[in-house]
This record gives sequence, C-alpha cells and structure tokens, in this order.
Amino acid sequence: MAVPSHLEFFIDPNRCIGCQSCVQACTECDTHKGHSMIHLEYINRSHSVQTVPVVCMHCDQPTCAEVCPADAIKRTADGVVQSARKPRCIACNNCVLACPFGVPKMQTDYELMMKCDMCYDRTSAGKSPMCATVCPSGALFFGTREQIEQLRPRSRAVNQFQFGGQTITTKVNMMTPKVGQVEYVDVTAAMNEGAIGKEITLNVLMNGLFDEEEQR
Amino acid sequence: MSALPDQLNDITNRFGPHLAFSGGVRLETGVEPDKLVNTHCCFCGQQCGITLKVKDNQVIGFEPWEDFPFNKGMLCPKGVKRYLQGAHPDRLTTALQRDESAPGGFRSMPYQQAIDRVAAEIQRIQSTYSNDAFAVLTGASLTTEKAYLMGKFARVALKTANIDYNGRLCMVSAAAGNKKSFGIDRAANPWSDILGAEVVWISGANVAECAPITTNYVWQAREQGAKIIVVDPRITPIARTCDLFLPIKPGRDIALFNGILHLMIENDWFDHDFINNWTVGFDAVAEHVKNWTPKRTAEVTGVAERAIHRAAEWWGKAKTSFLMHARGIEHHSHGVQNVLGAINIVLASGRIGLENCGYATITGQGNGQGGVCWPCYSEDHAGTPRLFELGSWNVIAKGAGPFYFPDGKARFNVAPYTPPAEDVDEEYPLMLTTGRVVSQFLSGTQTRRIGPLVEQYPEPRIELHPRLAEKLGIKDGDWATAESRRGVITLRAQVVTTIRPDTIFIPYHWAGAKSANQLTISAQDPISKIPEYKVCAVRVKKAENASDLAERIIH
Repeated sequence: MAVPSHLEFFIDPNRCIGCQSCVQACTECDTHKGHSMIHLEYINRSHSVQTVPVVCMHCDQPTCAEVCPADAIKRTADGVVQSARKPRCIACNNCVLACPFGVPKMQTDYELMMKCDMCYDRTSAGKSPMCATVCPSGALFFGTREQIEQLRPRSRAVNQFQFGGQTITTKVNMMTPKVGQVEYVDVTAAMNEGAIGKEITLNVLMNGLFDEEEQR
Repeated sequence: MSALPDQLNDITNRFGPHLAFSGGVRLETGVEPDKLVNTHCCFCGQQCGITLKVKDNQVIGFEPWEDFPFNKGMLCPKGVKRYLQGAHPDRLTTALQRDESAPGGFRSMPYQQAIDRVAAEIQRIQSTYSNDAFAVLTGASLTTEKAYLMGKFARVALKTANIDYNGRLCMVSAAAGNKKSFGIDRAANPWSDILGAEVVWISGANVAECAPITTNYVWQAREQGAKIIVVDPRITPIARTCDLFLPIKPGRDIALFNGILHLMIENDWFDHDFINNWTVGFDAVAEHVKNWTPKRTAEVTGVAERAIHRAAEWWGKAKTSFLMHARGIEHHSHGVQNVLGAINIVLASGRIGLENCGYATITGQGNGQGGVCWPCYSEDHAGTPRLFELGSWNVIAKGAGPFYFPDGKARFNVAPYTPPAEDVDEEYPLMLTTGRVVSQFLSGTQTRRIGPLVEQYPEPRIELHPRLAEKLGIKDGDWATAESRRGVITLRAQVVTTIRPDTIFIPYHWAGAKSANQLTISAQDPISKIPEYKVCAVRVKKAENASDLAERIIH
C-alpha cells in the first residue's frame, strides 16, 4: 500500500487559528499514541496571534536521512519519509540537529527519533492524515491539487525552500499569498486616537482607505 | 452555606477536578474497538459530529466523522479530547446526600431512595407554601425533546410558573432581541449562506476560539472575495486576517450600529421596498440615529472615524451579507439594545431571508435557540432551508408575511445608547472584558477535568497592551493584580499589542481565586436580566509576593 499520488498535503499558515486541534489529534494516532509529531508555535505572540503548524515536509532528498549514521530513516517510493526504524536508530540526534525545518523529535525514553510520517497507516490506506482531517480552519489540508486551487484562489502552493546554500524540495506544500505582504498590526492603529510607535500601520484598514481617497 | 477551606479541600479531593489522561487500553496501539458510535460533541453550539471508539462498553478513543455534513470531520481540541470524559474518575455514578461526616461532605444513596426523597420534598414545599414556591432550572445543552419535557414537568406536573434556563447567563439578550425584532428566536440561516456572502460582519464573537468550525466558513467566504469586518476590543484569530477591524471600546456596540445606520440613511444605502413592505418602525429609528454622526460615533466607540465610514459603505453597498454576533455584544446591561442595533442594520439592508443573506447569534450551547424551524410556503410544503423567506408561511402570520408577528412584518426598535453600568474613572481607569480560550468550555466544570485541555492553557492570564504595561511597570509573565470595586484577582500578565490599551482581558473558565467574576459587576440588562460580564471598571498594578502567588495558583 502506498499514499495515492493524486493526494497531496498543503499547509496554509494564513488559515491557522492556533487551536492545537492537530496537536491533540496527533496524540491519538495509532502508531504513536500519546505523542504529538506536530509543531505548533506562535510566530511572535507579543505582536500577533499568528501561529504556524509544521508537519514533516517530506523532502525529496531528506537531510535527516542523509546525516543518519545508522541508515535508520527511509523514504518510501511514494515520497513519504518514514519515522526512524527502531532496530536501527541509535538516538544520536543527528537528524534532530540537521533537519532544516526542525521536525524530528528525540524520544529519550525510547531512545528513538520519532517524527510525522504523514499518518502512513491512514494515508497508505486511502484516508487523510489525522491532523488534516480535524483542522477546523483549513490550515492543514489533504486533497487534490484541483481541490486546493479551487478552495484557495488567492494562494499558491510552494514546495521549494532555501536554507543558506541548500535548496530543498518537498512533498508537502506550503500555501503562500499570491500577492501582498504581511505586517504586524497594533490595535491602536484603528482606534479613534493617535497611534504611537514605529510599527503601527494597520494595513488591513489603511490600504483600502487610501484607495478610496485616490478615487475621489 | 459557605464551606471552610478544609471542607473545600475535602470536596476537591473527593470530587475533583481530577485530570483525565489517556492510559491503559486508550494508549495501546493496534486495539480494535468493538464498535464505533456516531454522536455529537457534547460541548458548544456547533454540535460537531464525532465518532467514538468503544471497547468492552468503554469509550477508548475517537475518530473524525468525515461524512457529517456540518463539520466534515473537523474538530477543535475539545472535540478531539472529549472522549476522556467517558469513565472519568469524577463522574458521579450514584445519587448523593449531604453527610458532614463523609469525605467531601456527601454520602452515596440509592437512586430510588433519592427520587422518593426529592418527590416528597417538592410536595412538602408546594403544599406548605404554594405551587410557585418550587422552581425549575434547566439548560440549553439539553435536546429539544428534553427541554420540552422539562417545560411540561414544570407547568403540567408541578404547576409552577417558575421555570428558567441557563441561557439566562448565556444568549438570552439575543433571544429577547430576536423576539422583539422578528417575533421568534431561532437560527434563521444554514451556515452555508455565509459562503456566498459579499460582506461578513462579526461583532463581539471570538469565532476561532469559541466556534472554531465556523472559522472555515468565514475564511472560505473570504477566499471567494467576501470582505470580513470584525468588531472586537482584541485582535482575535478571526480578526487577524480581516479586511476591516473596528477595535471598539467594550460596551459601545449600540453606538456603532446606530452610527452605521446613520450613514446608510445619509447615503441612501438601504432597501426602501423591503422596509416599506415587510417592516414596521423605520421612521422612528431613522429619527433616533440622526444624531449619531460619524464624529460622535467615533468619540463614543473609540473607533477611527474613517473606519466607520468604510464599514458603513461596505455594509451599505453589499448585495449579499451575513451579520453574526455573540456574547461580546450580549453580556451587557444594555445587551438587548446592542442586539436590536445589530438587527436594525440588517433589516435596513433588506438582506435577510435570502440565499447568502442572513443574520445569526452564534449560540454557545447545542440547543441555544430551541432547535431549527423549516418555514413553508403552504401547509403541505416540505420546508425551506432558512427563515424569513418572502412568501413563506408561519403559524403566527398565517401567510401575511415572513416574520412571526400577526402582520408578518419585522420590527425596527429604537435602540438608545447608554454607557456601561460602571464607567471608568480616576480610581478605576481601565475596562475589563472577559471571554474564552479555545481549549476550555464555559465554566470549565467539564473541560478542567480533561488533562490535555488543561495543559494547553493551564491558568488564566491578564492580557494587556504594552503601552499600558509600560505605564504600570509590568512585563510579560509578571504577576499582576487587577482590582475592581467587588474584588481582586492576581494572575500572570500577558503583554500583547492585540488589545486596546484602555482594556484588559481575562478568560473566565476558572473558579475561586482564579475566577474573573471576582471582578465583574452584577448589573443586569433590564429586559433579559443578563449580567454585565463584558465590561466593568478595574485598576491594575504589579503584584507583590510573586513567589507566594505562584505557589497558590499552581496548587
């Protein structure tokens, strides 16, 4: 059994509400019960409620596997980078240190690296990964290219990333806005009093208003 | 009867909250359940479908129920972990009677004995005093059938006039406003109408944390080009990507709605035909909002004047729209007026009872609005997906019009602005508002017993803006004391630019020393009797004896 090639994983951080439903559901997955393989972080809670969920990106040339001295990390023909194989893993942490996305976790209790395997028990049986099934806001999505293009007309899927001199292509896609840029927003910018400080520009509000003034 | 601290400890030791975590068979891999049971999540008003795994008559885990039409397998963390309530150590499996000598002050008793005793006591009270001396309190998390049965039990069996429900502390302002405007309090639209709306207006609703599944509907509408307007003192997750954010001062919603209606009338952005044919009372409301100029609206609401213009223009010119509100505008001493103000701008737009056009209060409990109505065009019609469609038939109007008054017409209601019962002053210069976090439900009596949910957000924090924090000498993570005329609470501070600098926020899911209600005011809306949970005056300072506090709040 393999993950069907027409089904892809899409992460859309713009959609994340930080609810941790994915994290909680990941701990219910049958192959690693009690342990979540998902990373969910605030980017900078002081200035934004923006959060980002990260699952294993499943690199075409996985750095984790390349640095593994015990050859414990295998990438199956369907492009899924599997969790470390228990008989081979020597818990050396090389993969944890080397992964450019910071995905593998060392479970010291088991002397074993564990990471997201795209719910291989589910996806290889034609189901969706647990996290992408429960995500209430569409930040994690598993489906066809046609579906995501229809659902997210304002975004495009990216699967090539640059880390210093290293270019990485991945099986998992990251959705990015087709246009525009993201900036921090301070509540005071939309209040009926003068805003202070240098970072107070409320683009969600001001962009439209400037357009309006130009039209008049 | 107040309990002494020793007794409180006894009660906590005996009855919890204890934290349930996965263990035993729930953690084993490869366990095949005996059966899968499709059901609803037991928490909020979304009522997501969920599949529970059962083995040896115990709930051992969950599976997403992907075929359920509303949430399609999607869940929030409460839904994912709710299965841990099954076989919870705190579950009461017998009736209990007070016995001071027993641990926790209660002793178990057989159900039949308990039922006999309750029945005898009801009879004694009613025969000694009067039928009305016994009251029934019920809840909006019951099914429609159970709620019906409670009504019958109170009125027919007990013959008491006194029955109430926990919506009194929940969505009752919306219920009263809906009845005054539409003649009925029901969810009027299927959520699929959100998807086709050009403008989605969200007032006082932390959608992503309190009704997470609705986030996908709102954001999917946005992907198709809808403009999202969010009115809230905080940038909540749904506000983060909105197209227009109106950071309103707590307790000023009616002023904003009146200001919007003022601009709609001034610019002729309203539906003359709909107002003439299907509503009553527009002229009086139009007269009332004459004074609500953008300048005055901005001064009262604390929202920039240009933003008010923009909101009115988007709302006024839209061809389709959906307005949603929740407890943020309802839990006020003028909660009903806030709701009437919201409904006024919906009625003026004429965009109700149409595909992709609607209005809703997002209820917090499964049966918040008493079920769903399927209005018909005639008595043999199968029913339509939404209320208030022109030409639809209902038992009150009997074909005269789509609304639930004898003439079939909706009511505009003049909604005058009054400030919160307790406004800020020199002594208490800040506003407190309260709300929820995504991992907890209401008072936390259920979710504070589920380990993974407690770990996600273990204790309440005081949210405040860095401009305020700097003035008070409080840094992120410091212990801070908030004080009102009623009480004091000391919690860790969370310093964020996502809240108005004149407002602090405390989530309300905790009891005792961690309860936000140490501070809130008992002022009530004169119509709905809802307490003013969403705004009161407080002052904040850096706490003393931080290490003692840490000890107390963690244990």
